[in-house]
Amino acid sequence: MAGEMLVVCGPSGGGKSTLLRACQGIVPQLTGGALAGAAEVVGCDATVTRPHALAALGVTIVYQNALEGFVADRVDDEIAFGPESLGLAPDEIASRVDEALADVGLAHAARRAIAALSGGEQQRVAIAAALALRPRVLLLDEPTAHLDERTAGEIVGLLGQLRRSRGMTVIVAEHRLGLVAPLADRIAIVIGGRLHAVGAPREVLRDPALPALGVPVPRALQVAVHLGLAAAPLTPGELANALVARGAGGGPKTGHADALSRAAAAAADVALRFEGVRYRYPGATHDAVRDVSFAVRRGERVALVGPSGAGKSTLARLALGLARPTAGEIAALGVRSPATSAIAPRVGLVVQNPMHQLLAETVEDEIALGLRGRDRTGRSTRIDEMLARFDLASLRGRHPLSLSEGQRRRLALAAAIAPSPELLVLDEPTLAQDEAQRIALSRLVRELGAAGVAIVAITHDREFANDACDRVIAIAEGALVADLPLAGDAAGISALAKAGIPLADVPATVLALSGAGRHAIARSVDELVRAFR
Amino acid sequence: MSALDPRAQLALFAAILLGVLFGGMTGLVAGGAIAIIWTARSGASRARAPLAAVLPLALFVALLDAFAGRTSEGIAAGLRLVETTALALAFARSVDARAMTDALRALRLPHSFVFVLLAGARFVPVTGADLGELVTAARLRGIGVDAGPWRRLAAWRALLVPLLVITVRRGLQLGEAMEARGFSTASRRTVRTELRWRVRDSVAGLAALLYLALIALIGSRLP
Repeated sequence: MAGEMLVVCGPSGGGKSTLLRACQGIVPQLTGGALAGAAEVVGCDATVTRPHALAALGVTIVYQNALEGFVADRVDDEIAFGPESLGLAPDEIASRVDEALADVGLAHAARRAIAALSGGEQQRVAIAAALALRPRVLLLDEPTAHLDERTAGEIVGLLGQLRRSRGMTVIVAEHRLGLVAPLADRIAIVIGGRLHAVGAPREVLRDPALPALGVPVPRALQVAVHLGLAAAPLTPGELANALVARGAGGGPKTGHADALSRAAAAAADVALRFEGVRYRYPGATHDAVRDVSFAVRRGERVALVGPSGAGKSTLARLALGLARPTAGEIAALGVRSPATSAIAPRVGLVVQNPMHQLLAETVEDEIALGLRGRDRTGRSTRIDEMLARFDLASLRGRHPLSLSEGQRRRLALAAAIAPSPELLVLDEPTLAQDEAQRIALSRLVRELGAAGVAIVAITHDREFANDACDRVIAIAEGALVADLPLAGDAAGISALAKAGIPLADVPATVLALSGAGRHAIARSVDELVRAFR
Repeated sequence: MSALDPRAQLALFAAILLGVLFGGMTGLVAGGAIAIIWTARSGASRARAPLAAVLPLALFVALLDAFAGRTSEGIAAGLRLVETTALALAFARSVDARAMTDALRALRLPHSFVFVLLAGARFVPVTGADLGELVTAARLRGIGVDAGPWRRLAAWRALLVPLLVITVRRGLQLGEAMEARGFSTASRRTVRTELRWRVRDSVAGLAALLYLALIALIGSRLP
């Protein structure tokens, strides 16, 4: 419907991006393939109207990774690109650039280099570049996927505000339903290339089967559904209100394993230690890492959080011996100031983009790369084990780069785990993963931790951090600003909130309940449901 | 230089480059001096890695000619390669990509061709970053990117396929994004700000011609 906000959601590979690109005429006209049926957008048949013609009619798309779609180096040049392509008069172009910049709150940054902007600002530039076309239909393909929680919230808020002020139709594919669903008129669930359900978010998302199908139903709503509440809360605040209104339940009915696991971790050996570490990139004028000290013990699962550019990836590079600290000392697996070659077989890294990690010519060889020290039988057994565990057995002879995104991610993980690393670093492991994959990954991380592997997971995903890790380290502007256990009790959660760490839905609900005089100890949906059943 | 019209900047760069390529020893010496000063002013540290990469090739060219009994020609060919690289790097850092696009378009080059050049220039640092990520992964997995020459060669070969695939995918993604913003709509694109040719640009154009004339004159007087 004209002027509405439609959220498209579903498991990875389900067809969300294809649907959005079909609205722009990109599928099938630029991609090839066959498209049956009708696709009418702004009164035109999108199956035959060229993408640039649809752009001229007011249909345009914003991609997940803004940087990959930029044409120019400077903000105003990038925004002018669309109007210039449409052949508009110079005065009109200038006015549209100014208007779009003002709408996204970047009027002050018109002449700045795009590369110098933060991730959130770059996504604002991408949205402004689309707005300069005066769109009637704005399509967005996971616009917050690469952003931290706070910035993602700002971008989603901006979309809601723009849709009201400009009266345009917004169709957004998004995994962060807790942020976007409260603003949406309707939600469409796309699974396996089919429309599974469409309707008002609070009605559609109540289906208890959705999480298992890979749909990231907000945890607040999952709790409400399990408890049979009449309300359909999308946020922790709404859930807390509904639970308070319900009356019965609450209280620390179940204990929590937090204290137990922390005691076990305290007794274990240190796998990674930073002591007063500073790091400055060559030619830089300020430190990227400033006086950071912490230790990670074997079996600990640490979430490393902070805004984009805070220094999280630099810390990971230092930990793995890929960079030398300017000052301070690092010890990894007992090796002081480790060189990568000295610790390589004992550490594992899973990078954000699996394309950057897959180097062999077959799936089997990719896993075998890290097993060169083992005998033929040991190697073969481990490869089979990894192929079976990550559901890759039928793909063993395929080239890694010919696999789907989800398969590539599983292979990257399998290849990193195959050599049985003692220290594993995961860089945004849930990026482009659906709910089912995130749950499986959380389970794997917990298993590896139980087996004694020290895990450091760089993540913007507050639910994954809460599910998979037992401790959180927050970094801001290169400095360590918090190092706290991920707690399930109100006092512990309050400490996390005070440190500015984004809370997952269940801990946020526990904290909100505590404010209303109701007490529970819970970190997971099941624990909160048990406390209130 | 950045105060000049991009067409004037292009003319100056072309004159220096022509001097290096076709101006004999005079063009090489003058071009070398300009390359040193320009590189120092535009950030020598960032030019170090690409120049270090081109040096072995320059040495190889020089040695090849030297073995064929043309030592001075070999040295000149090697120098030409290094100077051309240094000048191109300094020029790329000194000019605004958008301004250069406008200049090429004003010279009546087709806009699709101009944008291919622009996209190519934008992809250089991005591809460099991709390569950095691949090298990191290779290092951590014990693939010999830092080993002896033969193992290193085999390791780099393993990185080329993923690098190519990543770059092609980026290109396709950028193409889609450009189409979704109307790239193919206008038969003649408009621009937000028209280029303005001023007196100082004419002076720069004349200076470029004078430079070439001097190189030719001095070259003709030398034995």
